[in-house]
Amino acid sequence: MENKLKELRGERGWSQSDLAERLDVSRQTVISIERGKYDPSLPLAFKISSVFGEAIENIFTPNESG
Amino acid sequence: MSEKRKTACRRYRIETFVAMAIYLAAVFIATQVSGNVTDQTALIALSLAPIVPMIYAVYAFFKYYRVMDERERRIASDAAALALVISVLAAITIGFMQSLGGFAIDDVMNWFGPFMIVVWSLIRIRIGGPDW
Repeated sequence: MENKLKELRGERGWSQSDLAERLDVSRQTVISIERGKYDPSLPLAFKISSVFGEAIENIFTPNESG
Repeated sequence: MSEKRKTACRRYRIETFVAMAIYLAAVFIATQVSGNVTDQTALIALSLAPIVPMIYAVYAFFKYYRVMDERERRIASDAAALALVISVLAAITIGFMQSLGGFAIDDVMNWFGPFMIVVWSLIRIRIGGPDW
């Protein structure tokens, strides 16, 4: 899964820690999601969507392998 | 990391350290003293003494588990499953070797738990890094 987390975070001038705080997850988890090493669950994806005020499909896109 | 999570993480590390220190002390004392104890009740109490800090360590872990995020929980669970498989394989291997008389480790039940905890920690660090 590819995502625009880093880009959206950058636009808002938030650090990884700021975003982690808003999502109530660890900074390592934000790093893992940004690097595509970890795909969030649906509830967390909805939370990310709500925090950024963007639709989920605008943030996450399936890559070629699905 | 929120203040709540930081506090929980710090508390978990301290509680685990204290539990392990008490466990080692209890094992040491029990093995040193047990030879001189003849009373059956005292022997049972001595043999069960190391279990108390172990239960406390498990309790501390589950308390921490409740404040972990989903990724941390997944790493902990995956590492536990892998550690169990590796530990069971190690136990079976040693069991076969012991049956054939080639190699013997006494007190299998004593090493299995600590071995699995060490393997679990190593896998957890390998998957999630030292900070998860």
